[in-house]
Amino acid sequence: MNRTLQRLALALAAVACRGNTLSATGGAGPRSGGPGWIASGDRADAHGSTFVCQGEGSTEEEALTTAQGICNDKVCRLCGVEVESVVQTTETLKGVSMQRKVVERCRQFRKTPLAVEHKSTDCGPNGCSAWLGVSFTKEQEKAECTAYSSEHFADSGECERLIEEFRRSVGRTATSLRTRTQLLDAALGACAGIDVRPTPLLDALQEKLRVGMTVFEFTPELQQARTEEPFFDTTWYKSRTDMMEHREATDFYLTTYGLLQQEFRETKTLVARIQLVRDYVYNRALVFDVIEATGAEDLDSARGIARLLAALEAAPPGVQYGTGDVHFYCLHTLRDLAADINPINEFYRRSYPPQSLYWNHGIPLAALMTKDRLVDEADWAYIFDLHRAHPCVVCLQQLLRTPDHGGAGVREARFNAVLDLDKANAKSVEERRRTAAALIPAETDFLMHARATLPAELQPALDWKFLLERVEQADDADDLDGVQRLLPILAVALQPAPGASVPESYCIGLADKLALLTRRGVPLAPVADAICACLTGPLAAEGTRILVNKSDLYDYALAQWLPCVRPH
Amino acid sequence: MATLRSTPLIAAALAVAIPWQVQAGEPCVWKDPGKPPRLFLRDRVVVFRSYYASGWVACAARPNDKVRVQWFAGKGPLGTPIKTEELGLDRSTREPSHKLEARLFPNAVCDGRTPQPSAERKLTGVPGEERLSELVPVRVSISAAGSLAPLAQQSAAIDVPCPACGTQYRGSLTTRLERDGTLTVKGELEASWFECVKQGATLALLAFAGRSEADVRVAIRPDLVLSDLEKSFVRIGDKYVLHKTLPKARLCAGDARVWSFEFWGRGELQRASGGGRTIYSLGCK
Repeated sequence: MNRTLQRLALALAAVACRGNTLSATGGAGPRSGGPGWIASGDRADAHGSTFVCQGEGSTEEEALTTAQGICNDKVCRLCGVEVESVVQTTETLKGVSMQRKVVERCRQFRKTPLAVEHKSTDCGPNGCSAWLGVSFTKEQEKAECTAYSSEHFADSGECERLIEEFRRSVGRTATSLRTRTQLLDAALGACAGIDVRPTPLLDALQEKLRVGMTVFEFTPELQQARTEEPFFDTTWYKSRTDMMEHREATDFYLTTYGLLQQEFRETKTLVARIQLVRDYVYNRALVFDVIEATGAEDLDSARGIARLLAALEAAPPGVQYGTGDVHFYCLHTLRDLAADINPINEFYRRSYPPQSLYWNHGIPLAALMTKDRLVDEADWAYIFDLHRAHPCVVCLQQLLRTPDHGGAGVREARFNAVLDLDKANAKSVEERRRTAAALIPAETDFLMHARATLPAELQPALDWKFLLERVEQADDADDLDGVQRLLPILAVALQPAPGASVPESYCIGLADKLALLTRRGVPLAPVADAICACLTGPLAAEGTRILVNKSDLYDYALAQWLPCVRPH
Repeated sequence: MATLRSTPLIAAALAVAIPWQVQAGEPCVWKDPGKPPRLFLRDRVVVFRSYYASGWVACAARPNDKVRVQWFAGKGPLGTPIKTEELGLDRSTREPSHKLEARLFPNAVCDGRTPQPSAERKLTGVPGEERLSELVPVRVSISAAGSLAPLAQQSAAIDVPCPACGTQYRGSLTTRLERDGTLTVKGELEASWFECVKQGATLALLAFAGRSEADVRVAIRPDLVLSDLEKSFVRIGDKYVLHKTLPKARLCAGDARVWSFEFWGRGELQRASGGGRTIYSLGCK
């Protein structure tokens, strides 16, 4: 410590002799003997101290400012306040040069104006020199130095204790992050006066701040270690990269944010750095309130929902510190709850304009809004507006799947409204057909309604593939009545388009479809002509018992003794 | 162990305790799940589904509670037990109701089974792949006790088709062109297999005439059909034999130079031919 003080004193003396660092590095500066009164130099007696300070600069004002800084530093030194000295390195073409630079924190800190007894300036072609003669009486010394040595300023212990406690804080919970916030709030006050303390102390405190963050963060080192683990679960993850991308919420929301680290490094004062970290842990505490409320055992209750809502309202919206908006963290969990989540739905409608969202949030939100098995006007308007801004057919699909839209014919009207919007926006009729097919909900009644009302150009949407899927859905849902109503339509859908020649691709897959209809007991009469059209058309040149598709189709033709296979 | 003299005391204590017990179990009232149970066949797999209301099960079932599913096959009031398994219950309230689903694969019913002469039989399968099947009645029984007792049930029977005549054909069906140009149609089938598969079976020889091999390979409209061949088999020893001829003159009656032949019919008798089409070039002049 003594060596440090000695070095600092030497540095101060050097500064006092040279003026300031600007002039010291600025090449040939002004050279002048100075006024006669400077000859007595610095001195002290029973009444106090007198300092003589010389400064240089490119202008008179700059030279005077420098001289004032030197005098301030001398006052500080007299009070026992150390002046920070840093080593500045500069990389040059010839190597690395080092310069010791005095950061005049003391001058910034001092508020009392200097009592100037003498002031002289001298400017020439190469710049200006300024000399100040400053008196500092014993009374002034007592008043000012006592203030500097007060507990708040001079004793760094409280600041160190708080930061040490922060550094030793453990846990990755909202509570632990809130504790850290409180420690740093206190540190902001306790450390406000010690930015003039020696660099090693500041460095140590700043390092503790940084280490304190690594205690709870998912740091690059931990990330690297995770990817290098000899074992990773291939049941859940496709690759190590996939594993990292789907890391658990705690790791995800505490992943070290590079830009914050950079900002920390570029921040000049300890207090400002504390503020950065404090704001970060405060934000994460709010984020973890949401995460913990989502995972609470009593989430599926009015109390649990109220807690989550409060956390959602308190958490700042949007992306912060490089992680996703935590407001959307809970969506998939809420879907499975029995409790009333309408207050949560209302929160989203209030907080996020539908135009600001895309499908990735729209789909889970649509699921939440249909959880009460009712799509009211607010639900529909919100999701439809979202779709209007950023197309999300799946979002609307979720809503249209819900039978109750609050009145007779409302759901059908909304379905038609989507088709109308699509007519204006879709790039092709094929795209419109895909949308129509995707939007028709599973109930057979709705499908029958759509089949009867869809415009002619969209009718091909109800093709074999679509109808078969609906038959299987109805079967899976044990909707036997629905199955029986759909099967005849399915057989009709197997007929080729009228007037057109039968394409080979149609014929190649026909026998498998006939087998499906046969197993379900559907009469094949509607496709009899199509079977013969294939056997005498695209498949005519194929070996009857060589190409399996033709052979199978021929068996159906024989079984029905169709005209095309009867003897001449 | 209570003595006989203490029995009235125990009965009195139980009489006091019963109302409390009833109250405790009161919320677990069985609710109609909205769908009846269903037993059906899907691609020869027997599927059983039974529904229960989520509100009821959340009350009535404890975590990891299970019900016992027992499958029976064959005639009789219940049949013979062939498979037993346990199914867990879904206590979540995500959906208004949940389903119990159990599956029975055909091998559990059909493998190692001795055909029963009295069993009902019918042709099953798609054209070209039809076979005679014995219909085996299958039932399922759900056992559940205590608060889960409402789940206990026994299904009606569903007929599962099992191969009635084995899975391999036994014998041969061929055509042969003799040196003199006569076509011989021959069949030699193991008697037991023939007698088994003949129910509902038909057999015909389809003959296609053309000027080239390519013509008769792709043809679909026969020029000649020999029908009812299944009725022409004669039992000789432990075999059923078919022997028919087509004279060269008949085959050469038109301008055909090449003929192809294939056996076709309903049921599995046609399988004895091995499938495919046989092509002969005739020396017609």
